[in-house]
Amino acid sequence: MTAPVLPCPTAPQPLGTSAPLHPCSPAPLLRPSLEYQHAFDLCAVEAHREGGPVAVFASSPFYARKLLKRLDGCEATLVPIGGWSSSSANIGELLGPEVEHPDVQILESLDVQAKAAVWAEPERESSRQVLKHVHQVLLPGGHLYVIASGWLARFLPEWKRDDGLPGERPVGLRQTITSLRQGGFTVEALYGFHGPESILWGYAFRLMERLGRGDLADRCLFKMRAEYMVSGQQAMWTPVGVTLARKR
Amino acid sequence: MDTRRRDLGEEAVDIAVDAAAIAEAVIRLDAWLETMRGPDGYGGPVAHWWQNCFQFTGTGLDWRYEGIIIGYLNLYEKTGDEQWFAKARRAGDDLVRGQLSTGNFRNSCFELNPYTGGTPHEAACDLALLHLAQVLREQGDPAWQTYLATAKRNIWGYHIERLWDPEAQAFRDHPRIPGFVPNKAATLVEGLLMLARLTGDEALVEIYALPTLEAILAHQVQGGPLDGAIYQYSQKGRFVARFFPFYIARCVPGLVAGYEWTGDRRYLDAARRALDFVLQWRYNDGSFPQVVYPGGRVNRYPQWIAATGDILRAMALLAPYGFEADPEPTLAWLLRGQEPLGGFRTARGFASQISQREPGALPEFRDLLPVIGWSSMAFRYLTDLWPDGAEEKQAAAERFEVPCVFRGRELTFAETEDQIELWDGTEPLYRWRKGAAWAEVCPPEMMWK
Repeated sequence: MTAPVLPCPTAPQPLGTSAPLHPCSPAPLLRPSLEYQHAFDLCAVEAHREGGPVAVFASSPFYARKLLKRLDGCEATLVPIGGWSSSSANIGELLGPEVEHPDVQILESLDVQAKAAVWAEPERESSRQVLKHVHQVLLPGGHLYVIASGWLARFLPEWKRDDGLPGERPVGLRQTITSLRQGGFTVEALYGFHGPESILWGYAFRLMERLGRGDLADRCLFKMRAEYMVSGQQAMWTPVGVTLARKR
Repeated sequence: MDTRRRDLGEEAVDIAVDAAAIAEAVIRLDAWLETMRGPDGYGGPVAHWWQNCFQFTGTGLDWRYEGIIIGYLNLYEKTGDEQWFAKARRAGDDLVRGQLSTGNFRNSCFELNPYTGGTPHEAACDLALLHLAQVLREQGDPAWQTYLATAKRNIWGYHIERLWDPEAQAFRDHPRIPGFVPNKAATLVEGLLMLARLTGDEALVEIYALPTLEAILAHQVQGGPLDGAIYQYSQKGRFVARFFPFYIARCVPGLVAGYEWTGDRRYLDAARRALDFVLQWRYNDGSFPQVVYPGGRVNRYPQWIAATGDILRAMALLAPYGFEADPEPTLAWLLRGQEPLGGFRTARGFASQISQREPGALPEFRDLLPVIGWSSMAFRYLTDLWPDGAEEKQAAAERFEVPCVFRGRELTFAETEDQIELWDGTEPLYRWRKGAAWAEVCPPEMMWK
């Protein structure tokens, strides 16, 4: 489907640089919540350091859009999983104007060897099957970064939207780790974003706001951010976590 | 607690502010800007009051381009040297190439990057493009229409189409959120007025710019100890009582432009009162607090260094209208913040952002981190001071290394032409290779947004 062209009063363009304006869905203008920003950026830094090719297993356009945008230059291959369309006809629209049309492959006929993979996120119906494919795709010793939402994620705006959720039935962090270990991976690290202490500081921020103490509220907010990232077991108590695993 | 007009006993900064010092600062800053260019434009990590962006380091098409393009145009105007114009145009081309099919600019969210739709960043890019277009038009170069068209696509396709709220008669900060941010709106007003001047489309002024200026006026405090201050933000008519001297100063150019267009003295008076408020809070060393709250409460740290270029610019803009302010203490504060490679320190006191206690002897990593979006504000202001006949000496520093703290640890900050690093003894804790879109080393403990 071609997007309608806005009646934008464009000036004459002697150098021919501008095409007609195309409105996009509001999705690209919606920044993810801070939890997901951290998770995506962590994966991006690690994947860029490893270098491509990188396989991106995404359970929704939300994950695909945010991850592919960050993996520009990494020879990324997108593997849509779950219920969202993998048809190349509308994938450009789903990914938005910021993402170059990526290499798209379907799970069942994957033909790629990757130095690293990002998986967002394991779901009840498909996680076992996807993990098998991730294992096949990754080169020996290759790294896998798994973004998983915990039960606290239900409070995040991404999981309250009516125009597409990040996933359908996420398995969560604990089950993700178990599956990875059973599936031929060594779990090297686990990070969570917006840990318990950080959440408490967030409440302190709101309290200070209600008391009319903007000065103290701001300080609580920055304390919340300073304590945002937790590792190990504490990550189980966060809305969003990233598991770093290596193929054995 | 009312701490207005305090004398906190800081020593006035002892630095020579003369023509040679200005010229040298500009040349060193230009050399540093060159080191910050990647394949698509100017990049680098960002430290900010709201959020940090250490991981994504690629080109950001945000307000850095306002300072860079207009700064180079300033130099071109003052020297006639084509190299400066070439750099302004190269930066303009970054914006043209980085425009998306929606009219937005790629990675335009500065400290929130990598996202598009940044405010006031896209408006600041438009303003820069329009300045460039104006110079090209005066030269009779048809390329001016390319830069004009790029700005128009953004102003119409994003700001007017997506952010204009006809009910509120003002621009929103986000298509889905009915919020208004005066300083951001002021930048857009500047762009709208400039676009109207270049195209003759006065409807832009009547329908969009003037109502927006009225909305800014409605956010200015009338009377009392906060007289002249401008609320940072409002949502559905609820004003958020945070007053940032830096952001209030960023309202001044839009108000002055509104006055110059209309002759309506209310805009000029508002600008004067705004700057009066800002200067009431200036410390003896020329610095400003970060935020002022009702009741005279202050979160002083971090105190901007590079960004004071925009406060100085506001003073300069009002000087022709009889506003008397001595820029020297702040200019000295700014110049003292220049690092050997030419970039400017971002701030003083990031380590005290939570405690608000007097900072320790060592600067924090974010204090030292030269951020292009802040240094560009220094650049724009200093290039406007470029003295006639100044010599263009080349900068010589190759490596800058200094102890600092981060999360309570003593570390070493290092910058060369090729990279910015943070060392924990012999271990790199952070590394950005200039030109790369992502930090090479940024372990989770550095993930502090």
